[in-house]
Amino acid sequence: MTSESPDNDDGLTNAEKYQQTQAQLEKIEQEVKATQPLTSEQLDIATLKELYPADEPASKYFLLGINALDKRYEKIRKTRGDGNCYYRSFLYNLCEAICGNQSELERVIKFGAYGTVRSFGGFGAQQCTTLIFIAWSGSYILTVLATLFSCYHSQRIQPIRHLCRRIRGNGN
Amino acid sequence: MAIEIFYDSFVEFLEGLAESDEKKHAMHKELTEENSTSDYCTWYLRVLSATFFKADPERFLPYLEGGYVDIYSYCQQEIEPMGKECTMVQVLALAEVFQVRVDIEYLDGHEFPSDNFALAKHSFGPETAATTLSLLYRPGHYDILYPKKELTH
Repeated sequence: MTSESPDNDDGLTNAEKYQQTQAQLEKIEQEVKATQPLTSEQLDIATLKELYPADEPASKYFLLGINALDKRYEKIRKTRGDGNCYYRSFLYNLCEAICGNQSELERVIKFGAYGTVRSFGGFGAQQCTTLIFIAWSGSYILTVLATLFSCYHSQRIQPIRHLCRRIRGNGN
Repeated sequence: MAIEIFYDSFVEFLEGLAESDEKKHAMHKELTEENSTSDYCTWYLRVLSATFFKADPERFLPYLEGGYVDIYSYCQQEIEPMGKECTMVQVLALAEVFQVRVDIEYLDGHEFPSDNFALAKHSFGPETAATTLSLLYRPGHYDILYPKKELTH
């Protein structure tokens, strides 16, 4: 049996079925992108109720839980359901949290520039590439944090860039 | 060389954003742009989590799901690829990596044991952390929660 031979009841070959599946997945992905921003604006907690119809028995404890949330929380910010939601939620909330806290911002920046490589030091040569990319990516996120909140002047970012360049140079 | 060029040009772009008075709006716009900052940083957090696992394999090996017998395979298949859903162990890892507290409320539809309808909440990361993040878990998904101000003081 080859990939060009029909091998199922609908007469499609494996290749055609694969293409059909890929097209469906891409369509779903486009629909998700069109309807869900990566991160939403702040919304009322009650907006969660839209997901749980009151006339469905399975919704009962979800709706009670939302009422409980409404007593403790002011707003919710939704993230896209693309498998990366925890990381996006963590990232966004971390940026918001440390923006108003200079010492925390400095701690995170120091960690990313220096602690990342130090903490994970001791790896062999095979992991050097990973560490270099971590240092580069780390400086990327640190730059986002620092510049977007103007807690650091741009000249302070230079040492981070220089560190990353030295690391990249040492890894060659 | 290509990476460095990309890095420099993007940093210059970000420095321009810093001069705007609408800092929070700029951050939101930056992190909601498709195929851009949010994706790059998300991948970085994944790599950081994976590296944290690899730094202490004996601690995390007993908690690996999916029949994995070594940390490297697990990280390569379950943590580093974009789109792979996060497990509780990864939640813990990221909280410890950044030394922040992550409080997660669980809205999973479970029956409440009494008339006191309070959701289960679990916390990860150091108790003495200066920064606390608040998230909501619904089956297969996480969102951000903002505590009422009168409850945080």
